[in-house]
Amino acid sequence: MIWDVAIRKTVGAGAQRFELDVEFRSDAQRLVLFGASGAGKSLTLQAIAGLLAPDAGHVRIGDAVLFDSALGIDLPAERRSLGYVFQEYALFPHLTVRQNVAFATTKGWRNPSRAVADDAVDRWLDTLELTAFADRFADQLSGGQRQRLALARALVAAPRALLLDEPFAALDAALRRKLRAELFAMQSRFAVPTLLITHDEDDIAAFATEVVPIAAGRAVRRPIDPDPQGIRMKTSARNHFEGTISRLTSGAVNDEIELTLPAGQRIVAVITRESTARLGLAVGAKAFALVKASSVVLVGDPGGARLSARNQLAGMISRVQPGAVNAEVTIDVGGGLTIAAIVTQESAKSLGLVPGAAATAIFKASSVIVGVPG
Amino acid sequence: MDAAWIALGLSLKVALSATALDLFLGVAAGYALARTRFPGRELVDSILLLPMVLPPTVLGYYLLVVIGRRGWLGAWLHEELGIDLIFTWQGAVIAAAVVAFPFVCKSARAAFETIDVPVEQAARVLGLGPAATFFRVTLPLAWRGILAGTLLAFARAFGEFGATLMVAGSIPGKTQTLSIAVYEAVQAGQDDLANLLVLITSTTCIAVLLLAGRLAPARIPGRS
Repeated sequence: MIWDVAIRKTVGAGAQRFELDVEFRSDAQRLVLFGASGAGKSLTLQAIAGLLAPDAGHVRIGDAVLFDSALGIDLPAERRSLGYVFQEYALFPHLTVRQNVAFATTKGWRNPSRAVADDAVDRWLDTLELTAFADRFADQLSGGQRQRLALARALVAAPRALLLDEPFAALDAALRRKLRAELFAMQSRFAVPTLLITHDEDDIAAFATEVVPIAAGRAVRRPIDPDPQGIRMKTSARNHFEGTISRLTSGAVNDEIELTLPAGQRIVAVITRESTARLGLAVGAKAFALVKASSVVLVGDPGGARLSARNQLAGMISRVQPGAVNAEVTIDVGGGLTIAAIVTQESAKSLGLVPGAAATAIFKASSVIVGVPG
Repeated sequence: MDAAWIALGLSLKVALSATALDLFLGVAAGYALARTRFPGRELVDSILLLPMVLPPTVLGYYLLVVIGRRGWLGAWLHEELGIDLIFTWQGAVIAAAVVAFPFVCKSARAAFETIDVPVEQAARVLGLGPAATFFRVTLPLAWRGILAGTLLAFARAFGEFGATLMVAGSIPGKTQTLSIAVYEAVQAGQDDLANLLVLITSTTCIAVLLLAGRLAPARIPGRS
């Protein structure tokens, strides 16, 4: 697991009080935390970097534990080995471009000299096309150059991960498109796990392999657990939903079962009367529903289409994992629930199934398998 | 006329010592006020600025209460360490330092507050501890403002009269600084001496103010 973050923090008091409760786990190389301004994205990033102390929770990146309130671990920011690109870049105005890049490679209480010689510094200046401006001060650079300098300064120390705070917000539209592409290329080339926060949907489409939506200080999302707690069973089905039976309608041959999930979504399943009897299903009983990812059909916008399929769960695409022929698309349907669907690469392209896009997962009631804990 | 040059030497010694003391204390206090949030912070700020507005004689009186031979700190210094500050040049340094302190403290606080917090945070994330961050980022970005305040503090300490007179008295060659010597010379009708002393004092203060004026707008290389 690359990212394993759970942060609880209350800031301010009275009317200014803001509660942050964010939890996500992901293996994505390019993870995007997406939400409106004021949702708590920056606080989350600061807590990961060690610039804000959470009240409780943990921050693990790769195999490193950076913070864990239960274990009493809290590495100071300077020992977390993270790269951080601030919203306005926070370059050092009193230092030249070269000195800015050499900042992290120079230890002690004195800044690197203007003529500092260091292979890594030269390489990063070159990689980010800053060599020609090496002796200028940060304020004398254009917007794009400043962002490249912020990246070079962060990457020179080979951080375990890169954190980007709205890196394109300060730029005009044309430059934003160009730099998104640059950042994507840079990330792919150096394979630094990157967490980007943004309120701009275009950033998701251009950059994300996975998205965590965040709103009003809350974000809870975990990857689908192949062995959910409480159910001692392993199955090949990618989608497991636990809930309570809220309705049971008997027919001549089949029964129709409605399962209400903890976050309020309902899943309808049609199973034989014989199965109902054998499993001892009744209204109020706990049960789970299994749905194969290949049984799930995706539409971008169902519009007014009338469908025979009984189950429709709308949400936002949080992850698209391309394979050779098919793509696995994960949709966040709210309340910490995700649903996985297998579609062909071709469909994914033609439907515009990219992280951040709205999508509805559709599956027939008869394709749902019902089980009981036990 | 030798008395004038002796007074100038003493004034420089007292003012430089007081300024050095204020530089450390004022930067520390200014940094604490700029970077920490605690209840009563503005009250502490007001108290620290008090020497700017209180009559020097009132300050002198407070100092006598504290470091006088029967003052609560002065009595302890006398009993335990055998140190007496009253009527010494060191006492004059303390008087001048107290009077000039707000200039350093206020300008340091203002200079620290103009620094973007993310710039300091960037240094932390890049691997620097708090002390290294202070010396490599915070201080280089604030030093012009601090220096301008320090020069004003020096000018104020150099011209200090009231509190110094009450704490250190007017002992020629020992505690009689330029500004006190001016007063004594005028009282004694020595107009020539008074003229010379006034000329020296004015020239020094104008030079310091010119220097402070050049530094006052916190200019950073690369920023116009």
